[in-house]
Amino acid sequence: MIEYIFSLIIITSIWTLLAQSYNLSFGLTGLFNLGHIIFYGIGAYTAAILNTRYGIGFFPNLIFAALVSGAFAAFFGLLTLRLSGHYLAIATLGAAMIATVVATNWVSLTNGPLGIRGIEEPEFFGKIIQADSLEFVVLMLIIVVFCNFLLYKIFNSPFGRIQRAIKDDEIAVRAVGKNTFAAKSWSLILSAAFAGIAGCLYTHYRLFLDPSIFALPEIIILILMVVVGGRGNFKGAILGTILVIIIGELPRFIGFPDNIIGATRNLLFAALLIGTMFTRPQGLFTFFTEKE
Amino acid sequence: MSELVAQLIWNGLVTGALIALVALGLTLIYGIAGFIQFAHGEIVALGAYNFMVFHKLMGWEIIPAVGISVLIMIIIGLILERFFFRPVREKDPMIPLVISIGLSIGLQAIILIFFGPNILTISDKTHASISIFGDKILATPSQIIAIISAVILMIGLGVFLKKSKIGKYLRAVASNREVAQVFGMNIDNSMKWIFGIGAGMAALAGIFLGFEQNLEPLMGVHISVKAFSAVILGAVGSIRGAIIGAFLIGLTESLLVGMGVIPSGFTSAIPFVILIGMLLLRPEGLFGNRFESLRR
Repeated sequence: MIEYIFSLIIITSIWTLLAQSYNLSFGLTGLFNLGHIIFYGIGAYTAAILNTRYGIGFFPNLIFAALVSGAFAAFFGLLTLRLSGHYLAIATLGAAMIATVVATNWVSLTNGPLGIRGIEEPEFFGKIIQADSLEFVVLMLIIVVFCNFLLYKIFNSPFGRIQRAIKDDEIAVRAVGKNTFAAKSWSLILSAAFAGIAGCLYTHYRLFLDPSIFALPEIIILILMVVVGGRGNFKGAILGTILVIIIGELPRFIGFPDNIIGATRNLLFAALLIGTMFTRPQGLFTFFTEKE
Repeated sequence: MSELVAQLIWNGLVTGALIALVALGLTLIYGIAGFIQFAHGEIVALGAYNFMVFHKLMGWEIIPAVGISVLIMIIIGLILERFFFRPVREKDPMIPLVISIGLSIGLQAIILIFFGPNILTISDKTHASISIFGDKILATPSQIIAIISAVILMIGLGVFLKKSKIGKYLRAVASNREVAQVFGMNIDNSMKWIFGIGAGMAALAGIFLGFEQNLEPLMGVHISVKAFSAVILGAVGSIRGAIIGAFLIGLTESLLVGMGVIPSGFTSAIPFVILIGMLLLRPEGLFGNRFESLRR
């Protein structure tokens, strides 16, 4: 039982970081990027490949995952950020589909659908930290809280305010002499770097990685977390993640048969997403920001 | 060699016709309601499952089964419009888009709960292939009917939009909703029309697709993502663009994979590679208007 609670805390913290990183590009800057999961997957694959082939440990991998994801986002931004609105959404959704296909078929790099096994657990001064142990929970919480702190600083910096302005009216921001393309690119790069870190955490927790990390349902869960919390709302994304994870675990407790647990969960997610859009499209947790 | 090419072109045309049926609904909805309907693929899948229930499980003949499935899906399309999209019509286009994403996963879950994750087939009988065009091409009867009915529907839709009174209403609403409203046009009615037409064509596409492949809960997603690409490829809101985009995707996919240029594992990436490549060269789409795309 205690292991189950630990695993839940670890999963929630990884998703919190991922949702918060998505909240930067999707929520704050307003880029409707349906391909954010690519950056998570690239971070995860970077960590898995570096670890299994070159023996690079967990802590350096955090940095490598962030760098590789961020660099990829710079390239991705060049391709897609000239687009806006629905065009951006479909092009990035397509990019996520391409990522699945590449991860499945580039067998020499990713080992294809069989996935990568034998990833090592994090090692801290010679002590191996087992998954689902208290040490692992503490490690995750420290990293995720630290990253969230950095993101909080970004949200409330002058850079963050430019992003918020771009979401409201990009042409006006351009008119006052800001380079909106560069600003949007940096938002995407930073958001990808944090997603890469989340991917690295996931890899070293699960110790197994296959192309299903890029799957469409994951993107929808991510959108759900940010939208439920309120786009661009920092605390909202955290609460949204926790709420979504709790709701996702409910069908298991109510005792639905195993074969429809996944479907029941998706039905609940759909109801939550649609319900939020109907009643509070700014997010369920708007009471934090209404003072501003 | 020429037989192979001819066969591949035929297969590409069949895929293209199915994508076009889905894409037409999407582009109409985008043009008039102003958002991309992500749950459109689930209407395709539900259409196929409906047909399977009536035809295989209840033993109806093909034509009445097609009729009732299309009718049910039109009603479902109207219900979605009335209860999910109408209340948020005047709001930020983000909101109906996100709602349609929610509907998409919700409907998939419903299919999974009712029919299970197992792969089903639409009919136990295998239809014999017949040779057409001087023995060069093997085609099944359902493929021939699919292409013929897709062409009839495309022309019919074009004529309907150009000539009929309701078609003129729809085009007026698409070009400027406020002005159309000022002139006394009923926006609710035009929404009913496009969601009904879109759902009907999607259901038909689903039935034809069911003859080509197995039924599985994600079948709608696979074809609708291709249809999204077709719509964007040809410029959103454009009927001609969506049709040409659909056939372009169907043919490229079939030819590139069939000729062995690209390994078959990469098939599902092809529409998006074309799409992203095209967006870089011509962001407004093949038939788009540069001014329109900037004004967005």
